[in-house]
Amino acid sequence: MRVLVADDHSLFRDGIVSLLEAAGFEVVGQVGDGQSAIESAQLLRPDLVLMDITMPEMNGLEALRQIRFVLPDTKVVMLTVSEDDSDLFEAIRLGASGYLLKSLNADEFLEMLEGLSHGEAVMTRETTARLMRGFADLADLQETAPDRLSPRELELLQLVAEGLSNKAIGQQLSVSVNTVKYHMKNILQKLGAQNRTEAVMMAIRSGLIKPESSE
Amino acid sequence: MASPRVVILSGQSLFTEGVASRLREHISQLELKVIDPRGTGALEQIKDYQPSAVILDSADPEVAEVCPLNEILMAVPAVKVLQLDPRREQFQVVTSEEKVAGLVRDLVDVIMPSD
Repeated sequence: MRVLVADDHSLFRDGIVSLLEAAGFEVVGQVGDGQSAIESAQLLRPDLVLMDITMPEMNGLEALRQIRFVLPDTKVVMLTVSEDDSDLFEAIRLGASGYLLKSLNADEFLEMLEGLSHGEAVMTRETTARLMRGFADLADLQETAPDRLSPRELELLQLVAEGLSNKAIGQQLSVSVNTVKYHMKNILQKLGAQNRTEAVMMAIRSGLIKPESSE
Repeated sequence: MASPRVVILSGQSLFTEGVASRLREHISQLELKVIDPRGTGALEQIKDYQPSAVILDSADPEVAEVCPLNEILMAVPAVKVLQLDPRREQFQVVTSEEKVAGLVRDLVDVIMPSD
């Protein structure tokens, strides 16, 4: 299998390349940022891109999206320290063939990559469990949330997801800060969320809002 | 020349094993032991192994907690400790010497630069 490794930590990258080569993988390239990953993938046409998420210039999720668009047959497996559910769900939504944590041991890591050639998803049991829990929450939310959240509340939640403060949301929607707070309180209550971050996460997972502005 | 005996101390398995793999490519006679600080008796294992160098992941809080630098140096006084920060891609080399301090002169000998 021909592999491209994208990770901004060169020492980690060097070590991964060594492990892959020792296991018989052909490492065709290694890069340190998302933009270079796209360019190298187009040039080298690897079977697999091992992609970190947090990288300069362009993060791994955006690079994943673009690689999947231009090279749909190239598999991309995220290799990251991020245990954040939003990164996991976003990666899978964008077409990642797997999601591995860097805390994995080498034998398990290599065994999983071997499974990729047999069409297996590259994911530990723990990550699979997280994913399944996420889908269960999503199904639950999709059944009820659209009916419960008004268009105005969805609009407001989208602005929260884009990082706007209550004041900025108020200005954008031409309402007072108190009105924004009132809507927010209702949203939290309807979704059963503890805080605005959790509400945003739930709404992103359910597809009610987008992770960031599409503009 | 004796084979270098190295300990890598880190809880990040994939990173550690990657570095170990590359080290073995560069140093053919390398004796290498990987120790996870989350395991039992990490410091005891270092003491028993008597490495010539310890590479430790300074970004891993468990390492500093379980195997503080001064305790490593106490356990193996002549060891070279490479405090590696993978995020900054830098490492700091710490060495130590154990000497007899019978007289103040012994301290002076160390303080004063040798000719």
